[in-house]
Amino acid sequence: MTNALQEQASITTLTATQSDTNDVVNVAAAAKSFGKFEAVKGISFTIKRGETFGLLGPNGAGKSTTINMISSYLRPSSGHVTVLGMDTVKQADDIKERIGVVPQELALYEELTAEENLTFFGQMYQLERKALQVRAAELLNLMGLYDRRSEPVKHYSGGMKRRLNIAVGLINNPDLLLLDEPTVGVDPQSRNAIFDNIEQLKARGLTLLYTTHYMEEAERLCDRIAIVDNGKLIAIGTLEQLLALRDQSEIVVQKPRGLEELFLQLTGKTLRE
Amino acid sequence: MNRLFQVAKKDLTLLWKDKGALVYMLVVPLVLMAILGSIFKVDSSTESFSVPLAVVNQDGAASKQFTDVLSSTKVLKLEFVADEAAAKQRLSEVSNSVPAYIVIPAGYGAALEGQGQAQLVVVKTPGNDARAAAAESIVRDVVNSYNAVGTSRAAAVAAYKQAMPNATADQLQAVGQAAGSQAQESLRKPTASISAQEQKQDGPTPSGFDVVVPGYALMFALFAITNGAGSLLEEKEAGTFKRLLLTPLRPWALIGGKMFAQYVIGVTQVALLLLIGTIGFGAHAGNLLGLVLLTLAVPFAATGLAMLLVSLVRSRRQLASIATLVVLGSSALGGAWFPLWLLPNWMQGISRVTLTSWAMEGFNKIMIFGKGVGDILPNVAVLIVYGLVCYLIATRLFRARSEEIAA
Repeated sequence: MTNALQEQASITTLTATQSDTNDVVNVAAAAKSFGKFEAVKGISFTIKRGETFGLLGPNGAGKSTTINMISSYLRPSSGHVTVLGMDTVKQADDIKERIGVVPQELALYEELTAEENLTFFGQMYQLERKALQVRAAELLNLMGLYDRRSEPVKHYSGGMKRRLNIAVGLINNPDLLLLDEPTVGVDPQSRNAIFDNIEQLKARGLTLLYTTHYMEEAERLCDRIAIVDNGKLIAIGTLEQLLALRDQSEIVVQKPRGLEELFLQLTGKTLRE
Repeated sequence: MNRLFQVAKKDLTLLWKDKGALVYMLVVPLVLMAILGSIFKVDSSTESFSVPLAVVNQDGAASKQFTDVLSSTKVLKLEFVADEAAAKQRLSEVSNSVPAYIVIPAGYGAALEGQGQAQLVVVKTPGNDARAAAAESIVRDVVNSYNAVGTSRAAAVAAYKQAMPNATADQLQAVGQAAGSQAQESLRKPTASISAQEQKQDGPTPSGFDVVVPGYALMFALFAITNGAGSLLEEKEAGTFKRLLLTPLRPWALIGGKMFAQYVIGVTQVALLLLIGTIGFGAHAGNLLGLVLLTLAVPFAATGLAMLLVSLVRSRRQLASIATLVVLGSSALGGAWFPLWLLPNWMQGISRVTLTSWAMEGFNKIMIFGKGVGDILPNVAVLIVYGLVCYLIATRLFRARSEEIAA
């Protein structure tokens, strides 16, 4: 990537990290190393309340490590991250109470029913029993799983499991939902159903952080998009802003026809894994 | 704390839904207990100890008195065979029913009377068959007794000759015969003898089930607890471990909850197996309070050990290998399969590093030796400390790996 494009990304990033009471997430020069390996190299961005923010990048770019820092699962090696105005290191428990995480893997208990899974994870937030029942039923309805709520998850299709995976992330009625590639390995119908679910959540004003490999998902769902590679933030903005980078960059030699083309031009076509 | 119990409840629910695992935890140990307990069963009606001995008598009637004396020992069960080939045949039979044979050569009876020389041959089965050794020892004792008779006869003749210098040869022969007869009579009916008796024990006679029931209950509890603790690795592999840590659940509560579930499973399994073992197989419960204390302490130590093993490995496959080695090794070494006191002293010393050894010593004290609560308190204390030390080490290892897990 050329210096010009890096500068462009940096300028956009700096603008975005200026603290605002409306910020749900503020990542400020956050870095994370594992031994000598630097997974994230000082990235900065903010996510506004009610925004759907896309985090794109090839495998090993640092997306999951960034999500892990935002969710208080990992401490940044340097820099700092705040969520809902709280420090992710000092107020980890308070943050965990108010966010939901949908991991990339189907982190569910296959022998338990959908209802039992939701109830168990809800109990981790110490929700009152009656409220938990109501919330579980609401989410099962939202995800179209209510009629099969009493079946063990192992009997579900891949798409149904994905939807339940999202439902579990919503059980505590979070202010921020982190979705880590929530549509991996599902058929087009199930993916479409998941899009509908996420759009409903957007419509309710929920703040979403969404990572994906599918550019059309980011184009359809995200208000703003950040592209990371090799642990660095290389571009950030709305879809229109990113596609307009052609006019301000020397490396983007052709005007990209879409986000995927831009992504490949920014991150290169070399296989990462 | 509430979250810890919810984690435990979830693990117990998962186990309850896995009927195959439940069957494995109860039915398999019960079947093994039934088989092995019957093998080790002490039967009071068993016949007294005897050793079959094949006899090739090439001396005929001249050695009849000698064979009568051998028979009178009641331990040797003589079986006369035609020749040495037949004796060899008996010795080489697969059933190994005859461990030794003797060949009485011609002239042996006369030799026993002090006339001439002859050598009796004892042939034993190869190896260290205790029955063959016993047969040889008895035959040797009887021959020595005959030699003693000869010595008595000579001593009597010498004494008579000294007292009666003018005694005739007939008189001396008569004295010798009289002394020999008397000595032979005392050989058949000894005035001094020994009698071996077993000391009667207070309370019921111990049975094989007193060892097998607690031993197998303990071994299968160790397997079940280790396997259950392995669900922690399963959760890591499935991603639910991380997902739970993304909720307000603390790591200690997650691990504690899983440990608590395994502890409940262990206590239930040991209690049920002991209950069925005492009611169904007749194992002796002994002091009930002592048995309850051990039933509570043993799964605690086992749970700690299981968590330690889980903290040392990275996958369920690794855990399965190491758990099999540790559980079977400690069961063999710790007295779960046979009483500890049958092991050599040095091995008994080594076995003290296993929780099985401390547990089985406690169970043996209660169920075999009829001891009370006070006698097993040291065992209970060691088991609790054992569990705590394992848990502390496991927690440190988990903590050291926490960053690694997150990566």
